[in-house]
Amino acid sequence: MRKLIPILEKIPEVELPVKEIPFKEKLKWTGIVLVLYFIMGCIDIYTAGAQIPAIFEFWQTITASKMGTLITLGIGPIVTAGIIMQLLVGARIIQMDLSIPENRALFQGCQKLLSIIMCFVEAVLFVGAGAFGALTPLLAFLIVIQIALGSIILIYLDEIVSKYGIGSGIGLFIAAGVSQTIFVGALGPEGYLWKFFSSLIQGMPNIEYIAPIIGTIIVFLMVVYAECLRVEIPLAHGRIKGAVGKYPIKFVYVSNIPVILSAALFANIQLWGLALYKLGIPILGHYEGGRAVDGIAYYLSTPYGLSSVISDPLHAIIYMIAMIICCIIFGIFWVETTGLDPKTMAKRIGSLNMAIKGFRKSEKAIEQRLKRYIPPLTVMSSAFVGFLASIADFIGALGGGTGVLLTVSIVYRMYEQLLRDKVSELHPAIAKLLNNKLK
Amino acid sequence: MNIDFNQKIEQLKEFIEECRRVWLVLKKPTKDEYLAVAKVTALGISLLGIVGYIIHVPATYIKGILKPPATPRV
Repeated sequence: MRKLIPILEKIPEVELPVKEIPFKEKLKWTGIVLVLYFIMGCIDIYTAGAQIPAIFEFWQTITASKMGTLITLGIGPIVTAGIIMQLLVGARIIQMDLSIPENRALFQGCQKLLSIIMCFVEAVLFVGAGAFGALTPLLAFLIVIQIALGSIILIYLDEIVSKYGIGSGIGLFIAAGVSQTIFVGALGPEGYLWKFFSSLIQGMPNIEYIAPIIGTIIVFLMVVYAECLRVEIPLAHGRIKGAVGKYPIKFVYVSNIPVILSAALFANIQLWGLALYKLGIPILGHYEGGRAVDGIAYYLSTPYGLSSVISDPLHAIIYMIAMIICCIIFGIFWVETTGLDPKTMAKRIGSLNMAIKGFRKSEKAIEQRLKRYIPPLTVMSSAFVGFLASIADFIGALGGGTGVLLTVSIVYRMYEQLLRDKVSELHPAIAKLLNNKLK
Repeated sequence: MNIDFNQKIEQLKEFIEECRRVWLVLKKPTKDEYLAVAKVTALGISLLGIVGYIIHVPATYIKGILKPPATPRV
């Protein structure tokens, strides 16, 4: 893997900030990237008037994409590269100790190179799968270049947010895409709310028009509740006798990454399946009108809304189980590769001068204690978010159940970071404490 | 092989017991906490949604005028 270093050094990157960025600057950068993302979603690519069949809904939510625009692929290539790297390192196919900063940089460099490669691979798959109908070779080439470039721009926008803004670009784009879908879908010129009102005025209220809006609200309330659940580990202060605190760990400990990776994996299966089917190799399933009708691809396609659950309950059950299993696997890998494991956590608590109540103050003791909490928490919380995501899909919401689930947790996490950044600017000492607590 | 298998089952049982324990100490939110989080996230989503709306709706309208026969966009 080190052989790649010369190549990795040639990829342009967003420079790391030289000093701490003031809070207002961070907000500004995040806002600029947000507006740019929305504008990119309005710019149509040149297709010489080719018809765009509506068969790629499965791709849109999770990759924050908009068909037919510069962000047709969305963050799909970034997330796909993420899946591949997580699997390679998590399953120890590539041996890599990520606690060494040098290795971390190498890991991230490889992920970026892979993302750029995936931009082209997925662009070809899209055109090959018939996302733009039948095309001449020249036009196909032009479209591949345009949508690949669009996603490469997103890679850099993501980097800007990670280095100069709040949270991650990936999260921002997903949340922005879903929020926009909710607002335009409900209140836009052809929004469901107006349709419902006009059917109400005509004296025949049409439930179908209001169901997606109610579904969105139900999923929202459900996810907020889950977001509030936590486990509190009692702590005692190392030096000040009698000072007792609690170290809260969120029940959704692994947060939304496992769901993003699992949903993106399923979307990729649909994409590959469709492309392979067009090539005459239907190993993942057969397609009719762009929808999988049998095979693995069918059972892993998202059943949106209650009506599709009722029409084929077996499909819904298999989908849910697959989602839960995938989330657990990605959750375990994620905890290992990002320093959420007991050892790293213990170091963090140890540096706070806190100890677990009733235990000697030592990092080893804290680690022992955390070991009893974190592995069960990882598995349960991954399974729980997977379960919640599939239930949310079954209820049916604007922007998709999984989309709303992700958006709620992304937005809440951004708020937490906002709060921390703001506090750290006012009182650096308090911030250090808070920082460790909220992580 | 058999012993190994039994060991695995034991480990799994232990793990499930741990899970049950963690599940029992799970702290549910109070009404105030719940409302606070709901308010913050709803505000955030509205903010993102409104910015998206302001950019998307006029742009779609203008595109509609510029090339009427184009495919309908979502």
